[in-house]
Amino acid sequence: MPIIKLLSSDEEPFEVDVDIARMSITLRTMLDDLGIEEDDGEPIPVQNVNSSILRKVIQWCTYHKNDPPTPDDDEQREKRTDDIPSWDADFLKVDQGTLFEIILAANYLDIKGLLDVTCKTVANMIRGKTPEEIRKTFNIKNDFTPQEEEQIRRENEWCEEK
Amino acid sequence: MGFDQQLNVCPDVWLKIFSYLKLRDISRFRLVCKLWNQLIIDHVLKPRKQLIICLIHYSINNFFRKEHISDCYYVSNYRQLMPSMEHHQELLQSLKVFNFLIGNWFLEIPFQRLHSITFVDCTFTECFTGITLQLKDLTKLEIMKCEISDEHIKIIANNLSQLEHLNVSFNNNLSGANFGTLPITIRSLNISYCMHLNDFKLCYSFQELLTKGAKLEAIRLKPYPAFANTNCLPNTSFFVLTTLKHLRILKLNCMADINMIHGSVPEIVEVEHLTIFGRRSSNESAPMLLAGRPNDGDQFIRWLFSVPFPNLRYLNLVSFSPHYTTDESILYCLRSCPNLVRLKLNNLPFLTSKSLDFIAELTELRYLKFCNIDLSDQIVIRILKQCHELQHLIIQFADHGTVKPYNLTEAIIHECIYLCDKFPDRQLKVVISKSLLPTDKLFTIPKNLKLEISRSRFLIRKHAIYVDEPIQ
Repeated sequence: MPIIKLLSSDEEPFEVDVDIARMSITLRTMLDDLGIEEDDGEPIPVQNVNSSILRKVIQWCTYHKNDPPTPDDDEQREKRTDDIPSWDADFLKVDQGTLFEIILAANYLDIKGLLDVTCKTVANMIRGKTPEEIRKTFNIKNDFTPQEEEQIRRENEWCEEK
Repeated sequence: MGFDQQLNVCPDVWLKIFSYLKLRDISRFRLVCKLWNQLIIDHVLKPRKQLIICLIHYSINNFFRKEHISDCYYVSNYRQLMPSMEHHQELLQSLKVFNFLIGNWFLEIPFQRLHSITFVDCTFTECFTGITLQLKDLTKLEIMKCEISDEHIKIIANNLSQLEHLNVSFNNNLSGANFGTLPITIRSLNISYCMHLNDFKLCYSFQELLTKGAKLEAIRLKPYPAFANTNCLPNTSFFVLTTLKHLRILKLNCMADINMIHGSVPEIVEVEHLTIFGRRSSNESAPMLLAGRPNDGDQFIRWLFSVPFPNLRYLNLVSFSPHYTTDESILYCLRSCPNLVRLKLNNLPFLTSKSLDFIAELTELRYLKFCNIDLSDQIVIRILKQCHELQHLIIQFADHGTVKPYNLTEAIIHECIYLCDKFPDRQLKVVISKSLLPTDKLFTIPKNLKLEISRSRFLIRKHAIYVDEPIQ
C-alpha cells in the first residue's frame, strides 16, 4: 500500500495510506491537482489541524476506510441522528473542545462521513434544550436586553408547545 | 476556544448541525445569544420563501408526510397562529391546514401574499365564500378530503379569477359540474379519487373550458378503487380530454368507449408526461374499470397512439389486464414514443420479449422501472448494453404479483460491472428486489455503479448497499 506523509500544524509528521488520505476531498484534490506522487517523500502540510486532532482523524478514517460512499444529501429525506454507529459514539466520547476541533478538521479536510457523524453528535447534545441550558453547556453569555428577548419570544410563540 | 467563538470561525458547521434539528428547536435557539439569533434569521428563517404553517388538530394523516414536519411552522390552535403569522407575513406564501374546523377566525389571517393554500381533512363552516373573497389573488388551491360540493366549485370559480392550479381530489360529493365556470387562467386540475363523478357533467365542464379558451396543461383523473364497477370514467369526458391540445401532463384511467372515439384522432400530441392506469388493482380477478369487451384495451391503445408523441418524455403504464390488452399493443405504444426519458412499467405480467426487447431501442432512456414484469437476463442485458444514457434501473416484484419472482441471475450484475468498468464516466444506479437468484459469489463493484439488492442472498464487496432480508 503506497504511503504519503502529512504534516500537522505543529509540524508532527504522520505516515498514512494514500487510500486513507484520499478519503479527505481536500487532500484528494491536492494530490490530484499538484500531482504529488507517493514516493516523492515530500510531506503535505495540513495547516489547520494539530497533531492530536490529526491523529484522531486518521484513526477514524482508518476504521472507516472500507465504508460504502455516503449517499448524497437528499433535501427531501428526513435527516436522522439516531443512527450513529457504536464505534463512532465511543470514538467521540471526548471533551467538547476536542469534539469541536474534530468537526472543524473534518470540515476543513472535507471528510463527509466524519463531519456528518460529529454534527449529529452535537445535534443530539443540543436537541430539546432550553436556550438557558445551551448557554450553560457552551459557556455562552446572554447578550440580549429583556426587551429584545421579549420580542423574539413573541415571534416564537408558534413553536412553544401548549 | 469556546463554542461561541467557534461560531465566528465556522458558521457553516453550525448550520450543518442545525440541519439535523427541527425548525421548532432551531427557532427557540434564537434566544441563546445575538450571534445565534442573527445566524438563524439569516440562514435558516429568511431563505425559507415557502413558509408552511400547519394547524394540526388531532392527527397527522398521510397527506402530511413526515419529512415535511421539520420544515413547517406548525401550531395546534389558531391563537398561536396569529403572532407568528404577523411576524412572517412578508415571507408567507403558502399555507397548509390539516384536519381543522375552518370557521370565521380563519378570515383574520393576513392572506395578502399567499399564493397557495392547501386544506386537507378540513371542514368548512359558513365562511367559505368569505375566504375565497379574501384570496382573490390565489393561484393555487388544494382542497382535499374536505367533502366539498359542486356549490363550492362555483364559489371558487366566481371569486378566484387568477386561479391556475386546482386540486379537489378525494371529495366524494363532487359530480364534475361547475368546473366549466373556472377562470380562463386555469392550467391544472386534479380530480382524482372523487367517487361520484358523473361522466356527462364532467364532459360538459371540459367542453365549456375548451370553448372558453382555457389552456389546460395538466389533468389528473385517477379513480377511487372502490367504485370500479360503476363505469364512471373515463368515457365521453375522455373523448373531450383528447381534444385539449395544450395538455402536457395527463394522468388517467385507460379504456374509453371505443365506439365513442371512432373516427377521431387524439389531439394531445404535446403531452410530455402520461400515466395510464389499466385495471384498478393488481388482483387478476378484479373487474375492469369499464366492463370491456376483449381487445378493448388493445383498441384503446392503438387509437391513442395512432399519432406519434414526439414530446412524450415520461410514460407510466400501470396494471393492464391480459384479458383486454396484448403484448403487441404495448409494443405499438412504445413505438409511438421514441423520445422517452423515463419509463415505468408496473404490473403488466403479459409482456413478452417482443415488446420488452424494443425498450433497448429507446436510447434516450435515463430512468427505467419494472415492477411485476416477466423479465429475462437477455432482455435486461440488452437494455443495459444499448441504452447508453440509462442512469437508473429498478426491477421489483410486488408480493401479490402473478409473475414468478427470482427469474434473473447474477449475469445482470456481471454486465453492470463490466459496463461501468468499461465506461468509467457512466454513472449507473441499479436497484433489484426479489428478482435475483441467490449466489455465493463475491462481487467487487466499481465506484460508478450504485447497487442495491434486496431479498436475495447475494455477496457484495464495496459500493453496494445490500438490504438483508430473507428470501420467503
